[in-house]
Amino acid sequence: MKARDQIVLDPDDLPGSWYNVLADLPGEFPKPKDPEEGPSRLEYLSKVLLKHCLQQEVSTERWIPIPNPIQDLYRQAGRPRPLYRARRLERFLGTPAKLYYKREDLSPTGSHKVNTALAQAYYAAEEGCAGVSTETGAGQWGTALAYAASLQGLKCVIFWVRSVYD
Amino acid sequence: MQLYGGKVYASPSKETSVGRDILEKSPDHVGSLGIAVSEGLEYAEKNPGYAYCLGSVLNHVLIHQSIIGLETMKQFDMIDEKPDVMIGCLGGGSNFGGFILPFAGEVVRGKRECRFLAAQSASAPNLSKGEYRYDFGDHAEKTPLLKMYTLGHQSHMTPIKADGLRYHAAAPFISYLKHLGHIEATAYPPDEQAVFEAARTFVQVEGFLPAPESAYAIRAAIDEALECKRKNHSEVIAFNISGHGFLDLAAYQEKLKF
Repeated sequence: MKARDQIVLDPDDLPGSWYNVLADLPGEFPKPKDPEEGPSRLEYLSKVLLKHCLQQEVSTERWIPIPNPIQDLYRQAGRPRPLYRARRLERFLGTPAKLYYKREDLSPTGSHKVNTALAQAYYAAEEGCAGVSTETGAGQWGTALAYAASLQGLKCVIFWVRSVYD
Repeated sequence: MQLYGGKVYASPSKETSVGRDILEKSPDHVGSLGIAVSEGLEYAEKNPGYAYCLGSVLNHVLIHQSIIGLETMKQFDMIDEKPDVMIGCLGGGSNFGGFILPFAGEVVRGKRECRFLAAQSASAPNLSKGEYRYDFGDHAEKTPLLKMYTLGHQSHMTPIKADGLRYHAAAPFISYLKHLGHIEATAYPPDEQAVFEAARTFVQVEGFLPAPESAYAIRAAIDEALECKRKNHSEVIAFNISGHGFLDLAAYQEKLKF
């Protein structure tokens, strides 16, 4: 029997919860803290970040349920994504190793960044925001957030590292 | 970005006091992710109704990205296979974390054996060469201090084509697991020749054009596979293609000299 080289999940097999590694980390995971001088950055961050994200930031739950509307957004964006066996690459290299690659490039904007952009833009709309702001380096994150904000009818302001922008 | 209705500013910009201060001192500043983070934060702070969204590093971002690894785990279960080593490129750590953390959690709990390898640039070798200590997440020190492997939040990092990897520190989750000895890291030279050659091989034999960042993961996976060949040892290697390269054709043209 010929082995399958594309391992594909059904849309119904989309995981229903995110995984939070904090629940499984041994010992004392070091918490964020304020510097000894100057204003409180922890308070500052709590004003500019989304409430849902702040809650998740400190959650100790191993499984965090993905809200149904975000699951729908994930499916509309093409999730689950396939896992491929790189059989030709194995032959080309002449290696006894088996190689597999996950296809996060198969996303509307071309990168894995949509996975968190869709969640954050959804929460921003839930929390009544007018817009979101962010940074981007190569451009993948900025594009993903602009896409996700657009689906929610939110404005999006992006600061793009000049060396790449030019 | 503009096509999706986004408003884009080159950073450092004149839109924020952080950007204006930097431009006053060096008008030709090439910028960095750390500076752009400071500007994004300041924009949300000064414009009512705006929230700031971060694309990497923070715990909640890695939690959202875990969807990658959770699907991958189901897929390996479907074919009754277990990865021996998982590889991803790493700047701040969001695709790497999303891919490996569900597996790393099982390793920590003693339920699985697997190595995890982060492929980075020697331009920003935060895990390979950084120190594990508290540092800011941005240039202007607006974020809290996070315990991370860091090169220093104001360190200079040579621009590279895979600019998504050019960040001074690795996510706290990833840094902690590295500190515990669960994560390995390797860094490729800033000329990126080895990496772009790996991408050329990949596109020619597999047919898909990777982002320059993802090409680091491909390079590391090929090196691992060649090491298996040398030792005549079979193992299962899983790597993540974090993005496609159709926005990077000019970089390919320059690096591969077309």
